[in-house]
Formats: sequence, C-alpha cells, structure tokens
Amino acid sequence: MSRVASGQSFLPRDPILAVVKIIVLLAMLMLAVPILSLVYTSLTGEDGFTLSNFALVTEHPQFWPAMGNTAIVGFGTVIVMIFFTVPLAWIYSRTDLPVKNLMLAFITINVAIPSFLVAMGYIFIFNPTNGVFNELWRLVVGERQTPFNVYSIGWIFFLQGVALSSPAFFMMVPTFQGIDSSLEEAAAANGVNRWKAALYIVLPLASPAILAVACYYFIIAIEIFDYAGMLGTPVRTYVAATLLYAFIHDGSGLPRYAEGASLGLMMAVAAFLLALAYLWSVRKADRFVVLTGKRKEQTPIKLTRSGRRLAWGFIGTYFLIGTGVPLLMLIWASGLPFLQVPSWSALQNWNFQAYINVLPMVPELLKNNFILMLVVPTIGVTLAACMAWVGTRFKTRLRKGIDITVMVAVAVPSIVGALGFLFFGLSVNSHVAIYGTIWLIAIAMAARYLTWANRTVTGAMMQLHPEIEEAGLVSGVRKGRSFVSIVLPNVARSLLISWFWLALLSLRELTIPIMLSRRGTDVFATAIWGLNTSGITDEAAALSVILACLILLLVVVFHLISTKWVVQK
Amino acid sequence: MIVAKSLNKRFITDKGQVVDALRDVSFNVDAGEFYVLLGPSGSGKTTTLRAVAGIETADTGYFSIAGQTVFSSDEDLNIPPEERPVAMVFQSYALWPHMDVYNNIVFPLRKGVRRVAPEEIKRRVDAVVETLELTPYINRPISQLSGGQQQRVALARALALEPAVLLMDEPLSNLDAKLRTQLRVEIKNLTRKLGITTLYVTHDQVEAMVMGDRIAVMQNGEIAEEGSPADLYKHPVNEFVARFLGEMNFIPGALSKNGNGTHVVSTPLGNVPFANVPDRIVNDRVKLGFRPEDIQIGEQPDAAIFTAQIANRYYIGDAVLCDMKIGEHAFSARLPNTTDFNPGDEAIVSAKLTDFSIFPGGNAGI
Repeated sequence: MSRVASGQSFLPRDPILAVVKIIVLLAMLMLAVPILSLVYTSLTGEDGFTLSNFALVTEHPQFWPAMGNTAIVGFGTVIVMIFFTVPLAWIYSRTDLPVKNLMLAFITINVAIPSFLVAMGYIFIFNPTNGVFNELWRLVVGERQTPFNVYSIGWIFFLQGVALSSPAFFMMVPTFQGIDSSLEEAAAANGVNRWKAALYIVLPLASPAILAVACYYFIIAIEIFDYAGMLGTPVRTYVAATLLYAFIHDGSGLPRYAEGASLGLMMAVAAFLLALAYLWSVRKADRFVVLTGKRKEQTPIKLTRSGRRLAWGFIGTYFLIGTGVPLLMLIWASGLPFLQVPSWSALQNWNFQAYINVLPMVPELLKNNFILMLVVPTIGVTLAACMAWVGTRFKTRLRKGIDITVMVAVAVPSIVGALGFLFFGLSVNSHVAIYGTIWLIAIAMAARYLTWANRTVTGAMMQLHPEIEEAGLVSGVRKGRSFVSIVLPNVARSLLISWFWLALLSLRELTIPIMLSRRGTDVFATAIWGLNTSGITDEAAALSVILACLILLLVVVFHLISTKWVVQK
Repeated sequence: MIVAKSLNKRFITDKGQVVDALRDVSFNVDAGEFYVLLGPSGSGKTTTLRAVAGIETADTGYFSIAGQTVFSSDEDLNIPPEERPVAMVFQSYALWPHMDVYNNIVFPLRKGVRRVAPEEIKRRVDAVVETLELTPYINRPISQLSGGQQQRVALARALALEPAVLLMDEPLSNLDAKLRTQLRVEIKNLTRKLGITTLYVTHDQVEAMVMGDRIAVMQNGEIAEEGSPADLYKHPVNEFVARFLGEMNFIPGALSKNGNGTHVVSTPLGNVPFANVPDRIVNDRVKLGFRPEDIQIGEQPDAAIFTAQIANRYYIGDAVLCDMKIGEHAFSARLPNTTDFNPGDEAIVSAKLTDFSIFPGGNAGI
C-alpha cells in the first residue's frame, strides 16, 4: 500500500531510513558475491556452460580420501569436544567452584589463541623427525620408532576438539544454568545423591541441547582449515578445506580455479544441507526440553575438598593441552636455532636472535593487521547493525531477503568464501584494481564475520521491546531517527562487544588471508605459515609469540573496557 | 474525533491458520470523549488501537482522526504513525531507557516530525511536568523510577505532544492493585480536565466502567456491543458481554405472545412480561439473564417472586454469596452480609421484572 507524501521534495521523507536500506542491500551483496562467483566459475568452461569441472573434482585421486577424512575429522572433533565441554560447562554452572573467573579467563584465552599457533606448538613436540617429546622418547626408551606422530588424522581431530570445546562451553553454559536446581534438590530430598542426580537428571535434560551443540560444531569442524593445513597437508592427508587450498595453491602447477570453485560449491551445498538439518533438529529438540527459561537463583552443588581438586585438575589439564603447553613450546622454540629437548645447556643457548631476524617484517605485518583490525569490525558491525534492525523490525520482502541470504552465507565455509572473493577480485580487477590488496582481504573477512555480528546484534535487538520504537513513531519520530537515537544507544554494548570480537577474529584469522594474500599484503598469520612451511621454525615461533602477546593484550583491553562498561551501566 | 469504518484485518499464522484479527469494526469517538475498548486477550482491542496509531495496518477500512483521513483502503491511503495527530501510552510504558525523564519528554518535540520551537517546548514541558508532579524526578534516569512514576512519565511524554487523540494500551496493567485504583481516577480526571479525546484499551471490566464514557466490548475481532457502562451492565444485548461484565445468571424460558401485543416469558421463576421483544429474538426458546445482586430476600412489587433452595452460603465480608436452586436450575445471589441462611433452607426471594435481560435461547439450563 502506498503512502501519501506530505510534501513534494527530492529528498526521501526519511533520509536515514533510506541510507539504512542502501547499507542493507550492500551487505546482502557482500554476502552474495562469493556464492555467485563460485557458481559462475564452477559452471563455466572454455565453451560456456559445463558440468565437467565437477566431474574433474570427483575423479581427482585425492577427492574420495579427502571426503572420508573430513567425515572422520568431523565426528572425532565432536566426540573430543563433548568430552571436555560438558564437564566444563557443568562445573561452571552447577557447582560452587572457587575462582570461577580464572576458569573463564582460561577458556577465553583458549578461544582467542589462533588455532594454527596451537598446531605449530604441537608440531614442535610431536613431529616424527625432531619433535621434542619424540626425541625424549628416543633418549629414554631407546627406540627409533615413536608412537606419536603429529601428522595424522587423530591429532587433527583431537586438537580441533580441544579448541572447539571453548566456544562450545559458552553455548552450553546457559543450558545448564536454565535447568531448575530444585530438580536436583527434589532428588536430594528423595534420597538420591548429587552426583547421581547430575548423571540421571541434569544430563538427560541437557542432552537435546548437547546434541544441538554437537551438530552445530560438526558443521564447523569439517570446514576448519588450520589444523588439517598444518598437520595433514605436509603428509598429503587432505580434508575438503585443504584439498581446496591445494587446488588453488598447488606449488607445482597453475591454480586450478574451476575445480576449486566446483569443490567449494559442493562444500557450501553440503554445509547448507547440514545447517538445515541442524535447524530442523533444534526445532524438534525445543519441543521436548522442559527448561524454565527464566534464570532463577540457583543453589550450586557444594564441592568437597577432593571434588574441588578434581575439578581444578580437569580445568588445568584442559588449559595446558589447549593453550599452555603449545604456547610454552613456541616460546622455547623461538629462542633456539633448531629444536632441542629442554635441558640446562639448551636453556643457556636460548637467545633472541630469531626475534631480531623477524623484526624487519614486523612493521608491515603490524600495518596490515591494524588496517584489518580497524576496517573489518567497523564495516562488519555497521552492516550487521543495519541488517539486524531491518531483520527484526520490518515485515517486508527486504527482511525475507536478509533471512535467506544470511542463512545461505552462514553455511559457506571460510575458505570457500575466500575463494569466492578471490574470483570476484580477479574478475573486477581490470576495472577496480582490488585483487592482491589488503582491501579485498578486509572485505572478505567483513563478509565472513558479518553473519556472526548479525546474530549477536540481532539477539540484542530482539531483547529490546518493540514498543520503545513504536513509542517513537507515534510521538512523531521517523523510523530512521529512532534507529539512530533509540535503538542503537540501547544495543551499544553488544555493538562494542561485537566490534572487539571481530577485531580479535581478524587478528587471528589464517584461512582468508592465506587464500587472498600476495606479496605486500602479508599479515602475521600468513607470515608465520610461510616461515613454518619453509622450515624456519625459530622465526616462525618468534613471530607466533609476538602475535600471541598482541592477542592477549587485546583480550585484556577488551575485558577492561567491557567490565568498566558494565559497572557504569 | 475518531471515525472508524468497516475495519478488517486477517493474519495468517506460521502454521497456516487464518485469524481474523478485525472483523468489520466500526465506531465513532466524539471530541472529549473517553472511549474504552474492552475485551479478553485476542479479541482485537489492541489491534484496533494500534491501527488507529498507524503501527499496524488494517487490510480494508477507513479511519479519520480529527477530520483528517489517515487510512483508507479505497483511496490506497495510509498516513504513517509519525504524521498522525495522536500520542500513545504503552502497556510497557516504552520509555527510552538511555534517556532521563526530561529527555524522554523532549526528544519527540525536538527530533520528531511534529517538532516545535524551543520556547514552545519549554512551555509544554513545564506544563506537563507540573500537572503530573514530576518536577523532583526531572533529571532522573528511567531505571531509578518506580512503576507508578514511569507511568506518569509515559503520560507526560504523550500529553506534551498535545495530540488530538490520546491512545492508551492497558497502561495500568503492570501496576499493583492499589496504585491501579488510584491512577484510574487520576487519569480519568486529567483527561476530563484537559478535555482530551481518549481511546483506551483494557481487559479489566471494572477499569472500563470506572473510566469509560462509552465502552465497546470486543470479541473475536468484532465489536460485540457498545454503550454506556450502565447500559452495558444493566441491559446487555449480547450474552458474551453479559458474562464478561461481571457475573450473570441464566434461566431458560419459553416466549409467547399475549393478546395485547406484549410478550411473556414463562420460566421456572414464574412469568416475566416484556413490553417489546427485540428483533434478534427469533425463536420462542429464550434465556433470561439477571445479576446476582438483583436477587432480594422476600417479596417486592413488580417482581418475579419464587421459592429457592439454598445450596451453599459464602460469607465474603461485604456480602453473602448464596448458591441457590429452583428445581434443577442453579443460580447465585449476592445478599446483604446480615443474611443468615443455611444450606438446605428454603427462602422466598424476588427479582424486579425490569432487571431481567432477554437473550436468544440455545442450550437450556445454563
């Protein structure tokens, strides 16, 4: 139904709203670009439309092994993840464990430290040639053959599982907190002890949610590049993501773009179908779960002395495996020209030479990383805020468009999205010289993280009562103005958190820059990857330590700002 | 002041069910009148209010406010809410949590379509702040106000716009009972003093009767009946309305014509004459309705007089409630608190003939 203009004018009646709509269209375009370029590239051959690229991919000798490996990695990761994340979430939400903040800090650090650094730390410990642990094994046991070879499927999914336990923890905690503790009290009153109650009451109640988290992280697990790239590629054990990388960055030949695009499209479709299955199962699960929804004052389980020790032992072990040991190993390796078993004499040789060697690279890496850290979150959060608003508050076709675009875009794996932008960059390069610049990387990253930020900001906006905007409308305030002056100030906290989170993600991202970086647009992640691939381990380790310090610094600043913000509010 | 004609609105739920939110809703609100839309949840009262405000759009129909057409499906016209001469008080108050009291009142006057000059802003703010006794809180953040104070701020924000029509959506439902009773009267007096036309939505029948000059009772997206509080309560035409506005007893009866053109309904309570029977009674099977307080102990002139059995007796302080029976027909009576009937007693009671309302019959014996 049309509206009647109150006066004829060139300007739209609600200029802010018009701008927001343009931004939303831009965001949808950004999400659609990689998919469209993939579809186009995969379906075009030398003489127009063809399906032969897909045939080429499936006939590739590594294709079926890679699919099998991907499935193993997916399931393995999820099993390891559940092993760690369920006890962690239970301890955090249902017990009176002292210093829970420390636990939270551990898990946050685990999330923040980039996966490829952890993988590298483990290479230094368990690689078959000169891994520190394997050397030690040979010294002590005397056998040449050691049982630990980091370059294997088992290590890929084990380390992925450990890493994903931390973000999964944050997804699990609300579930455990939502289960009414009076259910456990009822069990206690009827003579069932607390441990049995946890096992037979809380766990079954939480199991649909656990299953949902497992499904969700299965989809993530089969698209992660870092571990398989670091631990699989050197021995030519591929998963889907690393095979895709090999198509494009085959050291020996020309990039096989069309095949890469076909594989990428297949991955995206598979991930999309899995995502649909996930959504369907979540909706099903919701019907069965009896959660109160409201967070009441819960009575935590009192841990005994030994219970506390056990809990902290578990948390400590988890932190050491996830971050502590690999990080220490990186520090150790960064000071030695070649890997050595820790010893007094080796310690005496420990020096800063590698740091001095990498110093000339640092300014450029810093510059590129800082550009990304400023541009990516700023674009990402701006677009996400506009999208989230239109997505939650409008009943128009634009909103439908957003829903569909976001749903499809979420399913596109990082490496596939990056490939899509690579094609986009190549095809527009004759008009806009964007290929090989930091800006293409920034756009690809912003598009990737946009869906994440959109979800966070959407969550915040849904909590905002629609009446506070309607109150603006009926008192004469235009929609656009109420977005800027009423909605945004009330979700400022989630915007800020999203901004920082995106900044952190952009600093730790390997997958997208490794697909799109060229000489001059290296970032820390790609430089470390390059040094490690070339076997210059000490310099790779030194750069890694610098990156880890930067990330930890950012986490601390983030923490200070967000807690201060909370206090002020 | 408000003219609503033939409003229709249909939703389709996620499950594909068709819900008629508004069915041919028409009403007029006169200038200065306090008009209440009353009904249970889902009856369409809030949808109607929001359609007046322009936050929701009817599928078909016509609205005008203060002589200006704001919606007409025939003319394909729909003025957006910000340009309609209304102001609204919401159930949640919908105050802007990041602003203090002053800025909540001033923001629409500064940044809205209906913005006014700074001197005018000052005059209006001073006026509403004084009227609503908000001076001590003027610079307080919203989060530091009690529910009642927030309610006043919401009212102040709406009044400062000096709207042609004030819309209120269950503004008192979030307050405790005592404050609610107090604010009912305050709001009613305030709107009367300012002479402001008010459209008020509530599901509380007492609130509706205390405040409304006229009430429209809504059910399933339709206006079931409209009238003054006393008319609606005393002589409801619609059985739903009768039940919704307090308790009503129903007794089945058979309608027959007297020789002189009048009618009589013969019931277990005796014969009740009706001078004229409305057109909607088409059948000879009817129901008579009367309120529990219509029952009096003993005989009285021009009344139906009958002997009832006392089934139960409840003392509730200001009155005694009795469950009574005539044969198989049960009804309840509200009697003075000095009544000392006991279960099992028989009593002669009566109800004035003019207290009976007539409804189409159906399932007898309700």
